[in-house]
Amino acid sequence: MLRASQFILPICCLSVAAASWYTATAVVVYAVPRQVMDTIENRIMVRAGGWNQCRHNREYGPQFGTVARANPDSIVTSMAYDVRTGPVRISGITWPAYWSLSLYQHNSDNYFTLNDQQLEAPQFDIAIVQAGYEGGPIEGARIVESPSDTGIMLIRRFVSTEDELEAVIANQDQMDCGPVADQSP
Amino acid sequence: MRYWVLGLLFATIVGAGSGWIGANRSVSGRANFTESFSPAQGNWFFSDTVGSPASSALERARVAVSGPLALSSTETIYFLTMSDAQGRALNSSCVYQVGGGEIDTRWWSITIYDARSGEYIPNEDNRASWNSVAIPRDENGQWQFTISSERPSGLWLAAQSTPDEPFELLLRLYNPSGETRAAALELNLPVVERLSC
Repeated sequence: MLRASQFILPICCLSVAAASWYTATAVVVYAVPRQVMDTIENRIMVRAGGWNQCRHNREYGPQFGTVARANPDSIVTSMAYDVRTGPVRISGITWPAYWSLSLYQHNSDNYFTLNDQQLEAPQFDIAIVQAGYEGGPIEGARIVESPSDTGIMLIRRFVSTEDELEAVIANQDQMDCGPVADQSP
Repeated sequence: MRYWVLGLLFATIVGAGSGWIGANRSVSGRANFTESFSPAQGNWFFSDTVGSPASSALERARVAVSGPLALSSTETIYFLTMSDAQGRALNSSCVYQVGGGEIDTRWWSITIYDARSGEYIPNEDNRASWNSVAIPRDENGQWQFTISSERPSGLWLAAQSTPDEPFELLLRLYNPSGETRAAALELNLPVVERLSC
C-alpha cells in the first residue's frame, strides 16, 4: 500500500521543475530585448565615434548588415545616447517629405516619436534627459525624459529616389548632436 | 536525504533547461514573429503593438529579434505577408504579380526580405522596395510590379536567385489617416498573385 509520504518527493521535484522553467523563461524574455539593444547601441556608438554622437547614413537604397527588416526608403540618422552624465541635445531642420525623430529605451520600446507635421516650424530641438531630471529648462529645447539611462535616437527621412540624396546630406549637415554641456557657449 | 538532493537538482536542471531552450525558440524564428500579428485582408497580417510600450514581454522579445526599432502604431502601421492571395507560401521558385491602388496614408512602402534572415535580397538593381511616390500608376491610380528571381519586363523586385527560398513582404503605412488606422484589419491591401512556378 502506498503511503502519502511517498508522493512528497515527486511533488516537490515537479514544483521545483515548474518554478525553474518559469524563471528561466522569464529571464530569457526579459533579457533578449536588452541584449539586442546592447548590440545595436554599441554598433551605433562605434560607427558614430562615441556615445551621444550622431551617425548619418549617406547612402541611398538597401544597406546590408544593419538591423533586420530595416526600411530602405528612409535615410536614417542614429545616435546611441547615455544620459547619465547629463542631457543630450539633437537639433536641426526637418525633411519635408517625411521626418520623424523616435526614441527607444533600453528594453527596445519606442517611447517617444515626433514627426514634422506635429511641429509648427521646420526646426526641431530636443533634449533627452535622465528620468527624474531636475536641472531646469534647456533654452529652446523640448525636454524628453528617457525611462532608461541608455537608448537609441533615430531620425527617419523619407527619400523616394536617389536624386534627393544630395539634399538629404545637406539636411544632415545642419544637425547638431551631443551632450548639452559640450554645446554651451 | 541523498534522493532529495539529487531529485531537486535534477528537477531544477530539467526545468531551467527546458524553459531556457523553449523561451529562446519562442522568441526567435519567422513563425513566432507573426504570432504578434493579427490576420488582415488578403493574407496580410497586422500588428498594433509592434514597438509599443503596450506590447507584452514576449511580443517585445520577438520584435527585438526579428524587427527591432519599429515605430509604434501611432506613427506607422505594419502589414506582413509570407503567402500569396491563395495562401501559398512565397517562394523564390515562383513568379508573382503584386498590385494595388491608393491607400489613405501620407506615404507607404512595400519591401521584400529574405524570410529566414530578415535581410534584404542582393540584386543587380540594389532595390528592395517600391514606395508610393516612386511607383508609376496607370490612369486609374493602380500600380503593379513583378517579384521573380530573374528580371522580367516592367517593374521588379528580385527574389532570391537560389530556388525554393522563402521570402516575405512588409507594407509600411506612415502617418496613416485616422480612418485608415481604425479600419486596419479591413483595408484593401495590395494583392499578391502567383503567376507561375
